[in-house]
Amino acid sequence: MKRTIYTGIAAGIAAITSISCNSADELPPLNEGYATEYILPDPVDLTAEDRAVIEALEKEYNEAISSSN
Amino acid sequence: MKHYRLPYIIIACAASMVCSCTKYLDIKPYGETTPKTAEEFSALLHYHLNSIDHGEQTILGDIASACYLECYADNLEASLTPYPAGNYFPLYIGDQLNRKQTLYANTYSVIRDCNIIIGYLEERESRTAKDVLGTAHAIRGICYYNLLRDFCEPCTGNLDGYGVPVVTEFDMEAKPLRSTMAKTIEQAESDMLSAISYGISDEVYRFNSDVMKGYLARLYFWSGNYTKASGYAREILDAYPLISGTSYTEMLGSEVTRKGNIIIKSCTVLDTGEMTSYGGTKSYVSNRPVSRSLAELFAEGERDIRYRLSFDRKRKFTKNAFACLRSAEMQLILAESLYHTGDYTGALSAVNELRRLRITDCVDYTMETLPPVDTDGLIKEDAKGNPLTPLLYAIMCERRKELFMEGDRWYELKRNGRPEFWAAKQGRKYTTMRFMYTFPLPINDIELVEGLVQNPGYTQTR
Repeated sequence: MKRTIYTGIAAGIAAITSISCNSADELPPLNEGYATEYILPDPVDLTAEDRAVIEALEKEYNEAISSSN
Repeated sequence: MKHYRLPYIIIACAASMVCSCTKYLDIKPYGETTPKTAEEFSALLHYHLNSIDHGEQTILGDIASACYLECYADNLEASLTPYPAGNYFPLYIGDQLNRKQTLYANTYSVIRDCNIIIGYLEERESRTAKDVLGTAHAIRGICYYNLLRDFCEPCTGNLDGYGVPVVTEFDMEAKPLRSTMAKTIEQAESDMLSAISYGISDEVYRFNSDVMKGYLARLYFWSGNYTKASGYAREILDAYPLISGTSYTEMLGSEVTRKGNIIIKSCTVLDTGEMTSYGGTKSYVSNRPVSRSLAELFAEGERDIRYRLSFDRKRKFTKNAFACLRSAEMQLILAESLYHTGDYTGALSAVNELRRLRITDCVDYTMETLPPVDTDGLIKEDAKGNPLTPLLYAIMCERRKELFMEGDRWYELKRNGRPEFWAAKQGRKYTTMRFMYTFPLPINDIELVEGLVQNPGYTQTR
């Protein structure tokens, strides 16, 4: 009889542990490459022409603030 | 024999308890909401109203969002930004485009709360219920207007293009696709008109009929319905006339308190921490000088009251950054709407009226004395795709000066041709491209909702 009881208990424990985890993987897996951002065009190096534009901006700005003092 | 049954009973009970709870999180309260009365539902609104007072970037915007919008546009000269201070605010729109995905999600969270109120508040007749329902419609309408401006292409006549998903009911499992621009406009309009129909009277809810008429003027103006835009702008101007002189400087000089003819304003209750935070943002952004193109618009110099209010001798901006709705914007909507409906005399009169209130000894423009269009300016075409005329250029210049540091110029660029321009940083050139004026929908939504169309330009992810 004891053998029957122990078998029953073991079977019960096995049932509990296996039944309770039938949806353990409810969350969808996060992929390693999970995307969060859009890739935007990379900046490019300034050309000589662009640098000339910036120099002109700086010159105008410096002259404007020095003349207003 | 009896005592042999006991372990089996215990095991059976344990097994039933464990296996019965596998779906306990999936229970959805269909048709059931906890709040019952209008007062209880109003808690959902008070959260958002409180956020407006302290500053939020979803409904009205705040000081930081106004500053950042200026950083995306051409009122400040991005290429002259000093570093390291320049690392703390965006060089151009590209720096913050990906964050706009959160703005989209947050806006729909606000819409969800409004939908819960509109769909489930059964009490309809009491004064409180009308105020709550009206405010929910008002906020939802403003959210759709904001989504239209940020996540849709500009409305250049063709309204069949993609709008945003129109969600008017609380449904966790719905996966709506994008509507058309026309449908999105219709939803925003319908909500704003509904808000007016409820006649919100309690000041706590603040989206009264004047505020909503102002927003309707904005909505119609953005969507190219100039007849209606001018009608609502006139109504607001009748109720909130333009002001000048000391009243004007006091209004713009008041960082927190709503003064003058400001119809609605955010950030009106800032604590010390918030003041410090916004002060920090302004302080960093002020390192970027005002652009030559804006500075040179003040041809009358000190005679223009806005000249010294806007920036100092080092061309650092000094004007308070605002997210607000005020009468001068209505005047400019009126002027441009009259222009687009062919009433050039009325348009000229409207722009002259504003100039007389801002410029001492102002000489009115006539059709003959209007300054020529600046061919070097970024905007080359109007909202209908036509070349600029001197009259429209004059209206746009006044708008640029008047609404400086109020987050307006970025949307002006979008509305009028989406020009491309670049800024330099440490030897590299960053270009604001045409597609960047329309922000990306969240990657999650695109992946989860089959058939949801992304805006052009956003194809590769990481």
